[in-house]
Amino acid sequence: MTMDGTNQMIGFAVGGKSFAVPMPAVREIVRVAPLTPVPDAPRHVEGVMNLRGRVLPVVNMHGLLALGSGKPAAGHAERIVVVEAGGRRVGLHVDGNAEVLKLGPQPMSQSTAEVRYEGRVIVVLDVERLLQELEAAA
Amino acid sequence: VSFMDEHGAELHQLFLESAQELVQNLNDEALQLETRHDAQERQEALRDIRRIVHTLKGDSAACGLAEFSGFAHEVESKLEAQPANPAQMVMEAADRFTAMLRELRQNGFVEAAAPKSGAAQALTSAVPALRVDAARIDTLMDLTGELLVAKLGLQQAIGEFSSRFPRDPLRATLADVFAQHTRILAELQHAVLQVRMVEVARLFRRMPRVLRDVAQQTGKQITLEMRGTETKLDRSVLDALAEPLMHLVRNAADHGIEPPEVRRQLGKPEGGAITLAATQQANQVVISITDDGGGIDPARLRARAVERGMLSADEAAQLTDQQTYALIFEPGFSTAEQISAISGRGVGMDVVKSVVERLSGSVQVESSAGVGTIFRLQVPLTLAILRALLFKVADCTYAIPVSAVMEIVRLSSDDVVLEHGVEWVRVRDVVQRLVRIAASDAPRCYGIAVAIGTTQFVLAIDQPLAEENLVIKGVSDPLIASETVSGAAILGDGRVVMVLNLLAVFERAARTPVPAGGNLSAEARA
Repeated sequence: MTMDGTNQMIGFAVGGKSFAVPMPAVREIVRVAPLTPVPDAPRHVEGVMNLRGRVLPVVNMHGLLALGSGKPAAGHAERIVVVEAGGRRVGLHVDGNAEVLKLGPQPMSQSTAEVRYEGRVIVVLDVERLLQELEAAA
Repeated sequence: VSFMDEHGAELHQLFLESAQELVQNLNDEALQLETRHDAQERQEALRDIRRIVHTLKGDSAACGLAEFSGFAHEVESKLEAQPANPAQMVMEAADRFTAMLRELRQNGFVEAAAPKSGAAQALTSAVPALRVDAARIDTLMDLTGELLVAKLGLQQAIGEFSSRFPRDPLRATLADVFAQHTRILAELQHAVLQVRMVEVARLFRRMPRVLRDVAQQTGKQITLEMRGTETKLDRSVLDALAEPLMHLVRNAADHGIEPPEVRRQLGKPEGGAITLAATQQANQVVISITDDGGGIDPARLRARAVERGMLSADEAAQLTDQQTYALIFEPGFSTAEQISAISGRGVGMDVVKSVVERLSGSVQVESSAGVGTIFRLQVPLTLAILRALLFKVADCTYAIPVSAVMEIVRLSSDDVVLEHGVEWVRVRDVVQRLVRIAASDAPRCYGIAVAIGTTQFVLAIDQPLAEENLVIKGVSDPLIASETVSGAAILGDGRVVMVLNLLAVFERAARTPVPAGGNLSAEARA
């Protein structure tokens, strides 16, 4: 929450649906670099990429959210949303359409993670829980 | 993070480092006190002990560590009272200090009050040599590594320029500047690596106290000889070796060296001897622990392995002595009768092995009945730089240490025999196990014959690539950490490459039978 009560999020598309993560969790959004697969990695961990000298694990959001073909729609819009949670950085491989969402002070209901934004339904992801679930699946 | 927080954290780090050294000095002096009989030497040792305890008290108080400084004060008072056995008292105090330091390192300084202002000046033990946080050195190392990667890009650009403008006089200038750049970069890399290097003495000097405790508890007489203490090793490697080495020394004293009466009957000197030695061999350091005790009886090891259901009697009988010794590193091999108060605690032999392997090293044991046992730990000089062989399997590039590579051979399906779920291949008249990382579609395949310690096998690959010096990054994120991966590095083209832990790859393969028909690709089988 900012001082004026607005709630900023980074929105993006995966498999034709809209998702968002809270702005404070997002470090940056970068183009997809060549990925290196990791032996024994949990399902949906696509591999690692070089983020300015750092080895960044990248998560296949299509697979994780069980959407579409399970593979990101290859295209120019594809992006890696670099998020930080629990002291670690992970890249979320998304289809693109990354945008800043300025949500009003009222919308987030506690019971569901869905918000309405300009007539669309957007699912807000809890990054920390997402990573915990991935690890548990390892 | 406020300035005060950061300042405080740095101060705490400084305290931990200097206090650890002071406690080590305390142990050294206590051992002097115990073994020397000359009154003047004893007086000197006692004086040093008082000075060290006083410094510990002052430093901990400056950091707001009331419990620590309170205990130091207690020790001071006890020393004033001239105890009957000051050496024992001081060693017990040293143990307590060590435990408190460990707790501070693990739990942080949450309980501590804020350091007093001017506390840094009050750290009387702060030595003139600069103490630097290891993470800062790692940052320098990372940046140096990125420079090396960037250099490859520059080289490519210069090459392109030269081919595009073959007559341009700037070519020569560029080549000169680039050569200079390369030389300075190599020096920089060497210099940064040197900062990380510390003498093996730093680790070895903890051992006299370890040995003294075992000797006292078992009533044995043991002398310790240390050689090659000036050998240098990357600090992170050395720190990781502390627990395994302590275990091996304890073990040698407890199980290796026989009791004095047994030794007398055997015509050996009553006092046993343990030798710690370190030598550098190319990019590796070998640390050996030698004892002149009873040795390991391979027949007893075989019997135990059968008893524990690890091997059938037939399998056990077929093992060479060398293979039999390797059994002691298997998890759960040591028996209850073997676990004593001394060796039973802390890490076991299986942990020794896994720690060393995580460092891309190996451990070997040689023994001779009645003569003694030698454990050899071989570890890389540094984990920061690795001379690696790159290769391709199923369109993926991997790296392995060049030090493990014996040779690269062409493989055809005629060379491969599948037997009871294990693939075997003949390389220069020696039949070795064939290990695969992934099923491959390559029409031709190659094998890399590797040897790590006594483990030898052939790794099936599609295509060998270049040899390169890699700057290794640890892979610690649980999402990508794997026992088969020992680290990652960034190649000249910016891609990440995984460095394989060859022993873990081998063990994984040993647990997974190959289905009938093998998994060579159709073309390779044809």
